[in-house]
Amino acid sequence: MGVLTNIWEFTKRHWQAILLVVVIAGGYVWFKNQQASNAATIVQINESHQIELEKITVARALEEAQHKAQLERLQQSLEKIQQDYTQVQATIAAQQTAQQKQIVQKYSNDSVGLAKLLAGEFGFVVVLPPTQ
Amino acid sequence: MKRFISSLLVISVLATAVPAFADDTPIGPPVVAPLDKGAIAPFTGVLLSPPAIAQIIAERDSVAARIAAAVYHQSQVDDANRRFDIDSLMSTCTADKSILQAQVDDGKRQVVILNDQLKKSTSGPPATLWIGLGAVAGVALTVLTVFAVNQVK
Repeated sequence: MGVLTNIWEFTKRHWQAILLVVVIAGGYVWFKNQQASNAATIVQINESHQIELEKITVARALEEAQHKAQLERLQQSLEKIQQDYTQVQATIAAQQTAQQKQIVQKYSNDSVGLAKLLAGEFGFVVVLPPTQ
Repeated sequence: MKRFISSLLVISVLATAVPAFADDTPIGPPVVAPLDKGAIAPFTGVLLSPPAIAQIIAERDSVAARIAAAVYHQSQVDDANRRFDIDSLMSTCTADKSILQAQVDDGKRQVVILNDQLKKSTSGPPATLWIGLGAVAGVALTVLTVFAVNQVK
């Protein structure tokens, strides 16, 4: 009982200080609790942002890789098209040369035939000389 | 007076009119004349050798093929460019869709997190805490009451 009496006397004398200490301690605990809760929320939001950023990075990297591959495919296609075109031009030139040779061989000594061939191509009128 | 001036103007116009006639000089049909070496040319013109004529004819014959080849080549180039544009846009759209989905997912996650935080802030301590505090306060109050009564006696 002596201990309780002492406590009672002490409380009666210093109840304002004890109340102040209790209020401060309670406020401090409450503040720390709020701070920890806010920090946990911020950490969770940050983790969510990290997931979002990783997905964005992956999407952009994939897009870039696809663009690179598409560009390479385009260049290859254009090269192939140009090669084909060059080949076709060469074929046409070869056919033209062959046709020229054939005409020269066939009509080198036949001026009338050559004139008729030219007239047939362009719609000219053939005028034969009086001696022929 | 007016009639006189009008008549004068009409007469002057008729007197100074110059007739214009169309130029009807005939050009004549295009003519080609075969010539043997040393023969007299029947008209003034250009003499072409057989290889030159052969080249002209062959060039003319190959024009259609050259045009067709050029048109086909250009259509191939256009096709390739269009395919590239479509593929490129498709990649960009797919990436944009993924990014937008990621942003939407992030937004949803944030809503859940903030809702949880809101619930924690608005709701009080759990019932077990209140029960514990009540028990402690009851014990303390009882002890203090007994002690105070004893002090009074």
